[in-house]
Amino acid sequence: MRAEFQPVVNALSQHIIGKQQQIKLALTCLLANGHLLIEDLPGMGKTTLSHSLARAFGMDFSRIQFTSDLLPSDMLGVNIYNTQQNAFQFRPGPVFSQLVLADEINRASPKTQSALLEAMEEQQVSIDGVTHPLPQPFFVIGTQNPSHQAGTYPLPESQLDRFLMRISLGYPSWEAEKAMLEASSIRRNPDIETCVETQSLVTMQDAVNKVHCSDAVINYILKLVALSRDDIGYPNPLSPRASKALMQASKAWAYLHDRPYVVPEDVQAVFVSVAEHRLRSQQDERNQDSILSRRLLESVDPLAA
Amino acid sequence: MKAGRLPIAGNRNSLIIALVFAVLSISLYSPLMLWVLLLALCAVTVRVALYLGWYHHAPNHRTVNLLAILSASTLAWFSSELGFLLSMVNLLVMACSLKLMLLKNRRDFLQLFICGLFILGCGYIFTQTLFSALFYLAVLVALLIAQFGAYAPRMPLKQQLRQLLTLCVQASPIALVLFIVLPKLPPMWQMPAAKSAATGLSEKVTPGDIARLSQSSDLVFNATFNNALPDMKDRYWRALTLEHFDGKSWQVSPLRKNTREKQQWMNMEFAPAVSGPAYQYQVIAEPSGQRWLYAMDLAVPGDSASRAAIWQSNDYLLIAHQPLMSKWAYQVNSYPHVPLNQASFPFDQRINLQLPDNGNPKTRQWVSQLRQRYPEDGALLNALMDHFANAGFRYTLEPPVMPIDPVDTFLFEHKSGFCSHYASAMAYALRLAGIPARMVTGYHGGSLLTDQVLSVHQYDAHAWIEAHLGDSGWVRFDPTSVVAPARIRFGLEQAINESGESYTRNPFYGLKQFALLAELNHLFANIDYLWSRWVLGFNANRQQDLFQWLLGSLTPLRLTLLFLAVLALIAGLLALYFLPGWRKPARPKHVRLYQQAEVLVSTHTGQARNNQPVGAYCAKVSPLLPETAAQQFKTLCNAFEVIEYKSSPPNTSALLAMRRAQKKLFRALKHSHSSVA
Amino acid sequence: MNTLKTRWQQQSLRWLDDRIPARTKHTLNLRSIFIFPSKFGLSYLLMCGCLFLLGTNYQNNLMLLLCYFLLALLLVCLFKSYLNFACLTLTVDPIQSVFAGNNAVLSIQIQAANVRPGTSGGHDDKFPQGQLHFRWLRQKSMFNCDLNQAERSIRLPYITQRRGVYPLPRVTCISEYPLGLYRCWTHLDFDQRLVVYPAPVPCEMQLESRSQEAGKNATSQPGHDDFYSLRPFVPGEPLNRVAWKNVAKGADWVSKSFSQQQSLGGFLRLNLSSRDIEKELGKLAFQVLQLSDNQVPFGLILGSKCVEPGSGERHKQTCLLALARYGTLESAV
Repeated sequence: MRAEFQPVVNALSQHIIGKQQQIKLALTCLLANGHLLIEDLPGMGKTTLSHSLARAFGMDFSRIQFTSDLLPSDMLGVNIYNTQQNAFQFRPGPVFSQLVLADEINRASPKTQSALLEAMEEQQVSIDGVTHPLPQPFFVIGTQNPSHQAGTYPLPESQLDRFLMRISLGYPSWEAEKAMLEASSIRRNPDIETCVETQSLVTMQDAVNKVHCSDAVINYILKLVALSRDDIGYPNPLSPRASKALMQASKAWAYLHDRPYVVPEDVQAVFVSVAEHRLRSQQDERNQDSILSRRLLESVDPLAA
Repeated sequence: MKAGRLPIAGNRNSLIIALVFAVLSISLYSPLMLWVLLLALCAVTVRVALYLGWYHHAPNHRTVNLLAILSASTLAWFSSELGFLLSMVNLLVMACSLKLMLLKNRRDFLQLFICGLFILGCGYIFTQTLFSALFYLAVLVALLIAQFGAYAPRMPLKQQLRQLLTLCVQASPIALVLFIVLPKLPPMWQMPAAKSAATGLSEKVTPGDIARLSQSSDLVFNATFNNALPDMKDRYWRALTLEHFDGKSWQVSPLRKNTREKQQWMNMEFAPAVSGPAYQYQVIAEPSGQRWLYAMDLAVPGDSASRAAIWQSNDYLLIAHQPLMSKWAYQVNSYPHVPLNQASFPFDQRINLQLPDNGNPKTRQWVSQLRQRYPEDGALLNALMDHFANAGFRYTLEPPVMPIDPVDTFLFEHKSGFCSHYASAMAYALRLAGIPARMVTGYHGGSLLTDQVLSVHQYDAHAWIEAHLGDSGWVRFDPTSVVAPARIRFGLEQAINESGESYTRNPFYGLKQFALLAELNHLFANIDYLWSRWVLGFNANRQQDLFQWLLGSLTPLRLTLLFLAVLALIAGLLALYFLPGWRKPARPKHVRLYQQAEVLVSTHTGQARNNQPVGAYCAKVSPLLPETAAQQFKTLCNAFEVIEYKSSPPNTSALLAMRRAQKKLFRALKHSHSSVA
Repeated sequence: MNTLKTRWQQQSLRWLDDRIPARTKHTLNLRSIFIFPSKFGLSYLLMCGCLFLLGTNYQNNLMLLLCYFLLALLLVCLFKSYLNFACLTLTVDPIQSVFAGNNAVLSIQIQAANVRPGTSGGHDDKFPQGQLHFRWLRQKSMFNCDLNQAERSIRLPYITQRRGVYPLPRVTCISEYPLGLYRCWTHLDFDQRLVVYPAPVPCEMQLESRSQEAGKNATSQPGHDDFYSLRPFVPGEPLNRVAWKNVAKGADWVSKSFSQQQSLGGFLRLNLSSRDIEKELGKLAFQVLQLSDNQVPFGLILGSKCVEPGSGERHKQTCLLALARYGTLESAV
């Protein structure tokens, strides 16, 4: 692993114990300049993870709790008439932060959801014909609760596609939870210090783009994608956006592991988080976790030309 | 295709076919008349101009038709002079030139292509060297490219070439099999022959003519001996008997010619009885445009194919039924110990005592004196030979001109001359003495190409005499052998050296100055010989030999089996070319190396890779492998990853590392295997 | 003589139907491909024969070798030709209906049958090469498609004269790659039915209303076409509907509303008493187009057949199809 990230992972691991893999995936997502969807039950540490990430990279953080009555303007901001200056003045909403935690994204109305997703895609917000660029880096962590679906507006496939990765934290192991309990009873968790400057994060994101992705790896990605399209066992084939996301995430994973080129292991490491939520259809049983993407991985040989 | 109007400007295929046509016509410069060649080049120029867009309209039909009538009548005018074959070749080239001018649509193009192929084939009538074969092969490929381009016009030229060459390479083995196996038919009818301007012996010899031949180093024939070679001094290759003397020149007796024709007409072939040891050899004769062949002593055709193509004349010569228009191989057996006494003596005597009515008075006088002194034939002959040996005669390549009474002048004045001078003088003298004698021309000697192969060149041309001595029949005498023994023992080169003549006019000058050149020359001669023997000389007979060698005996069953096998072979070749699955896409070297190692490792550990990436698999099997092997496998996998995923240009050092690691891995695993066992 | 010819043609068509059944996607195989030496191939063979005679008579081995090489090339080309043609897959897009007199266009996509997208390593040797020629069965005019181009499809025009519903004839596809020695061809039926509408004949509009509904057949529906009225601006309405002229005069914000005439129950009726029914049908086609363009609902009465009133693209198609089928055997269906 790259030296710069070791302290980040260490610091985060102190707060979210026993979830190194997820932490690394979250970092990858951040490096790949994508957005992260965390699907988990409440109380699993979603907020802690986002908060700690923001701290570790020195990003300003805001949290939007999505509810069914949340309006797009509540999130994006509004133009307010300033009587003194006799002009409209833009008051930015909570989305104007470098790290946005969109909590329970599936509880908001589709209108609000799509407003956020548009902002995520465009990296800017247009209100009353005026375009306001979002801060850089801009990283959205959406969370959703897989159970308790009553009264929610599940994200449609097209919108799920906008999230580069989907991870779920899951229950901690016995030891991890025990350690957590012991730690909390002894002392308050120390605040996380900034390990990587925000500005250097931007240069890292640029560096990720320069990671070499050989023909063999590109062919591998294409074969994975092609199989999902040819085989009728996959209800939602992977889109070109998905293959792009897969390559970007693989590059970021390779970068995170301090390798200037991508190997198929990188693709495999990120594949489940990148592809599973795109492959699944809405009606799928939630408990068959990552079965589709694993099957896909097993049926494609990274080697054969 | 009906819808085939070719675009004129910028059509690459019509340009290629025009250029191919130009090259073909130029290569045929000798059989073509100059104006036909010019016409062809004009047509090509028109084509090139159209291609480059200098003109936009091809010459119209009326102009070309007019030109056609004009050229056709001119050709008709010359045709009697040219002979049938050359007229036809000229006609073909002329017609193609006119067509080329008019080339407008696909149909014209296809006609041109067919004609081009045929002209190319005709080219082989005139030259058959290895070089020309290769040259015409290149022309053929160019012609095919033009044709290919007409059917895949948008394909890049490079790809066209690749596709076409693939087709050609696929076709060649089949062509070769067909060539070897298909029966070699005898000629079905007499073909018109081209008049040749080849140098060589002629049917009329004025002493001194042969000296001219000594300037030429052209090959005359190669002889491949089955058993021992005759000694240098016994290598007298008879070609012609000259039995008519007019005081100056010797020529083939008209009477002899007449009789031979009559006999051929009545199919009364001379068949001398032969016995005793024989030299068996195959002669590959260069084209001479003549019908006489070369053989030693009493020679009879050596096999049925040769027998069918050769007429044995009763002056012990071998005459081919067809003039030698191309290289031709025939088999001969020569019996050195059988006397030439089987032909009708009265006839031979009648034509071989013929003398000119007057001229050469001194010689006549001298011979009558001699005859008085030596009434016996043998003694007279010895005396004559002695005279040549001891009376101060000199052998030279540059004899003085002797226009009047040449024998007198030679014998008593200059006393220097070439072989034909001696032969002429001696034969004349013998006839004056009442002994039937004739001049024989041919070649003497020859240089060894390989142990079993003699090459005879034009400078080996020689003349000697035969005298008829009672029961012994025709006996060979060579006055040159006593004048210049080196000529007979070592060849012309040595003889010239001894005579001290300047090197500038001699054929060996230059070539043999440098060892390397000589070596090269020898090499080329060897290649040419092999080419002649195995390609040009592959006749029905050789084919039969080949079959015999393959099958043992030639029973109908075996022959049937052979042909079935050949069919199967061709079918197999086609299957190899075209059945899918044979040609797997070539995998890169590093992938092959890795996969070999993987197979070994998976059989050793019992763990298949199951679509895992290389690195993950390596980590998985490492604990199951012996330590050294695991280490080597890891090195191999790392190098593989570097090549496959890191660098885009081929990384030779990593490949080398892979190869080394693979070798060590194999060794380590083998070792562990044996230790387990 | 002529009947014999048509009999023969029908017979061969039936044979073809049996051998190459109609499909929208054809992958060429042994069953559907015919291959025979072309005229040029035969003359090539003749030339080889001449070379053989010449070579034999001159006992010239090189000429014989050349002859055998050309023959071997002929043999190799047989397979090359066939395999090149056999890896084609031809697919058609559904053919669009046209008005009589216009050209219908059959668009054929050409793909390689056996080349999977993942397996081709970039070079195109596996893809069929050379020119393909297309024409309608038993028609002269030929259309070419070069497979070495990026655009691997061909648009084959089909001239229509009379209205009606026709099955498209077979398409003949020919390839002579690589050396023109062989002609590979096939006759494909792409299972397309071409609907030819009557050619529109300009005329007066003859929309007759259904008598019992007369008087209440017009109402107004909000729409886009005609300006209808102004009403107070409701926030959230599109700004381009605001009547800026009024706002500029200092009045309250108002927005324009539009309406479109919605006529119900208009009927077009075929004049059965006319002599030239085809012309009447053409007039009806013209009116159908006009009414559809103006989004006026209408129905169509063709003798016993009746199309209920409606509007929109689909309705237009239905009406035109009814016109095309009128009086043909298929109108009963």
